Amino acid sequence: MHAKEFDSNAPVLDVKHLWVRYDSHTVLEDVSLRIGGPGEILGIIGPNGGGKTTLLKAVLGLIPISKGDISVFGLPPEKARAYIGYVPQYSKFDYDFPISVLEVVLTGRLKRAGLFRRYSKADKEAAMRALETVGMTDYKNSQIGELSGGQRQRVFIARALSNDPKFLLMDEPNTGLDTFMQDELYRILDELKKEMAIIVISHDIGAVSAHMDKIACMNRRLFFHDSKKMSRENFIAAYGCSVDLVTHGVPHRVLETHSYAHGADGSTCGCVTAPIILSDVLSDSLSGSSCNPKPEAADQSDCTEEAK
Amino acid sequence: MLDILDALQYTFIQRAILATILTSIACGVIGVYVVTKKMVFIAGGISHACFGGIGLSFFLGLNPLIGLLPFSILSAAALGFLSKKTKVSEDSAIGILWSLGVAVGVILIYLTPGFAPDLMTYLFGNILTVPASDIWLMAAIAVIILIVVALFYKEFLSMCFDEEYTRVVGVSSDKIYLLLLCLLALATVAMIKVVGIILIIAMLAIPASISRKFSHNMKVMMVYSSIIGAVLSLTGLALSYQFDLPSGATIILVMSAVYLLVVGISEVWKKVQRKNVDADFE
Repeated sequence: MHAKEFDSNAPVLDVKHLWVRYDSHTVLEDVSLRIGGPGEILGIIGPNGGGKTTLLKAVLGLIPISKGDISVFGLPPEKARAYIGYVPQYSKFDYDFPISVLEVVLTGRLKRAGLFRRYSKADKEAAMRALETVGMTDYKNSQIGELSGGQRQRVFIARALSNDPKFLLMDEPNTGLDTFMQDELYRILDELKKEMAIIVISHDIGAVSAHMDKIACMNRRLFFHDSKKMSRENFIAAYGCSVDLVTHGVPHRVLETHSYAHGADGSTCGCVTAPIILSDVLSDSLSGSSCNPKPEAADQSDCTEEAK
Repeated sequence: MLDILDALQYTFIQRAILATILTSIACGVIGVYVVTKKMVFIAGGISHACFGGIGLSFFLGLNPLIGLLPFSILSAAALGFLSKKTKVSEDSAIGILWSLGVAVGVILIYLTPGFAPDLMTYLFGNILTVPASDIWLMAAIAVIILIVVALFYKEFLSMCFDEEYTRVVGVSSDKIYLLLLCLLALATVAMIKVVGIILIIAMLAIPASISRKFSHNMKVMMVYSSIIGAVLSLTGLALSYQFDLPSGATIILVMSAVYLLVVGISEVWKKVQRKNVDADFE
């Protein structure tokens, strides 16, 4: 089923009917996802515990899958790791650890450098290039704990880039970043997407949606869409809870209401929420979208929290 | 002071000094990993499990260090396996191994005919009774540790900082971790004669913790922590000779006192700096 070697013509990612179960608990249910080539950022959004991180880890071959198939550049995940860059969730490190920024970025080339060898000049040059891409060359000798949250995030992006990946996976890159730094992050990603396919996952739809080329919703199942069109049903199906669509304004806005609720009518919302352009919500729902809304979810308007 | 200078001419004192320096190098290097990877209690688990090895050696009538070596490596491997490949949590595995090793040791020593005279040596260390063969073993252990750390330096650094990412780039962090545990087991064997099973944890943790206050570079920390370990151990040894106290316990007391002093000074220093910043604002 898988090719033996890296095939640049093979789709970047091809996930077919993937199931992941932990003990008796199903985390991913019949997930299919295909990314043809570079040039786009796919945003996967969904509530916490919806299986987003599990999907990324399955793509990296870090966890066993129960059913289905994953191929990355035509290879099984474990073999494709050399072509994947991964930016993990930001919160889980020991920032007191005695390691410099350059050393962190070099660990991205650990395998390539080979056993029993020091990092070569080429490794160091690649690491410096990666640091340059994210604008962190001045900090190469800083200890990782001395940096701010946004700077650290950029260092972890540089670590992922140091190995010249063709496919970049990012887990909640917005965590700990303020709006300004998020814009900076997406400016970097916009450059990078010319050369590689990118998946960004986040529980915060407002933060990611404006910068994504495609969006998929994830809550155990994946609802994948080829455009930014989001129908009410997609959100309801993914979040299991109704979503407010602010209609008749241009652009249309979607404010998801789950636990990240804004005002029910949206108009009173004072926070910066990136608008999602909806081409036409109504026609989308009428033409029958690809996913089936859970009928009971539509009634759950009571889970809408009131605006402050 | 003259007592100590006089003492230098005795072979057993010379050996003790050599043993202290060799051990300080071994545990200075490994201690940095133990402290940064937060595996101090894993070290405790391995060292206590070694008591089973001592019991086995007494039972079979062997040199205790010969029984120790396989036992400590085996317990390190068991610990790594239990915590990485099964669902047993690491701290449970440590606790079980800790008690199991001691229990096995106690039973085997109980079953050994006659009295086990130098049991205290292994529990609390007695560096003044180190035979020449043990010095060679300690030297071998120090050399092995230095070579393996030099060869796997970047793998150890990456694994200690971020196990998952190490796996992502395609290096088995479980195997690297297991290798580190084996080195830790070797360092433990070297230290048993110096400070004994019960006091090993402090000797691993204190020099490395002090070195952390002075550097954020792992290699530099290893050099500092080896030097700090050697200086403090030799100070402890001298004091124990001067005041006729048990050597292992005295070494640990000296280390702990210096550690508290360093922590105290660095806290005061931070406060002074903070005050200076406040003053600048006003």
